[in-house]
Amino acid sequence: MPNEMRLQRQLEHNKRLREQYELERIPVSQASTLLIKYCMSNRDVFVTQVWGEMDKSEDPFMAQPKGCCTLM
Amino acid sequence: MSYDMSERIAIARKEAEYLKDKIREKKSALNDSSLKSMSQELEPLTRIGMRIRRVLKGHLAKIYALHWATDKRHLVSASQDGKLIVWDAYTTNKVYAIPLRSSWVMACAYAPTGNFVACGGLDNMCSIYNLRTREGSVKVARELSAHSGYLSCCRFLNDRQILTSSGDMTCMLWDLDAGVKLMEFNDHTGDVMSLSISPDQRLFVSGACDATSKVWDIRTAKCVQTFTGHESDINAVQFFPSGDAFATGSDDASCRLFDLRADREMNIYTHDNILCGITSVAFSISGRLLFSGYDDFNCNVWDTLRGERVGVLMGHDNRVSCLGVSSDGMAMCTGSWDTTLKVWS
Repeated sequence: MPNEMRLQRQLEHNKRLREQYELERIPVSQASTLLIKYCMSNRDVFVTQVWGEMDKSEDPFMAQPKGCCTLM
Repeated sequence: MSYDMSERIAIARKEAEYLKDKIREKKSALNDSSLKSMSQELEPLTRIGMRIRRVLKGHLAKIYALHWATDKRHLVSASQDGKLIVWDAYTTNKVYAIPLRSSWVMACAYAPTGNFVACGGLDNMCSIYNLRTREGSVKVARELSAHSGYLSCCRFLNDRQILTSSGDMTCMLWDLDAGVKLMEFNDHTGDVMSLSISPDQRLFVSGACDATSKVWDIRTAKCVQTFTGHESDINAVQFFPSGDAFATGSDDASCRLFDLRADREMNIYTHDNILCGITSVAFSISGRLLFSGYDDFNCNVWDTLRGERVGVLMGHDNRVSCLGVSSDGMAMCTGSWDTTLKVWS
């Protein structure tokens, strides 16, 4: 490979490294807090321990479907 | 060989090493804790009580992909029996059974409006089907051809644009009105296996056989972040519901959580007795649970925050190839090589 190309490649690589360096990052503790907060603030019917059991009337799979045959 | 040129190359190489050290330093200073340790104060989740509520039977061969509609009750599945089936998950009725021109299908998607479905596979194309034609029958609307490798995944942004990922190592954004490629996302060095669009639709994440996952800016086609850590092919990626993180599933038998703001791996979901690859991942609506489908026929349920396995869903007689959670978080569906789909809740 001609040297001009080698240099060009290296300079482009360095440009990306500089962008990586300048990327704003938050500490792991802060990111963790935010993730935990999100999980605890959004109701989730699968997590009955935190949000309680679903009311039978809310359950779309309990309602008697109209139509001939269904697999329950 | 110019002395000046070789000196400039040497200087640039030195600068690269310097930058790499600075990046390492910066990242290390931010590594002040772990998600696992910070989640210890949360109550551990006791066994998750999910059971099979519906079985969707009808495909005659292995199911490779499924995708829920935004209306929470319909979903589309793709099988190598050469059919796309649109199901009503509440009644188990088949709403549409669409015969495909190529039976080697690997991916399918439901448009957010419900007007279209898409699929593709070894034909290297993404075919778009209009479900709501004036005549009433399902028709091929577009055949998107430009990838030089198999179509591994596709996801609609809206009725006019779709993103695809391919074995040709690229992702593409298409205009459906014109039927042409708008942008190409080029940076992976291995087959791209999966993609997931962020909730605000500004970004998408891709996972590839080069063991990296990349976050892309849809508008500029630029790769804005790359995440390493996995030791083998990444088969599945899915955004965490807030859009600030995403999960991956890999042939290295682990799932991992990566955070965009921290720019790093936050958690790993694995067990000594799990030795097979993961085919698919999806979060429950709050993000607290991570569902993952495995080659060993099971689906494991993980506590995203504490990192513990909280359930094993054993319902299939062959590999779980795909899974997804409905948009209202009320149901999770698994699709398998055993030709069935099972809806859990």
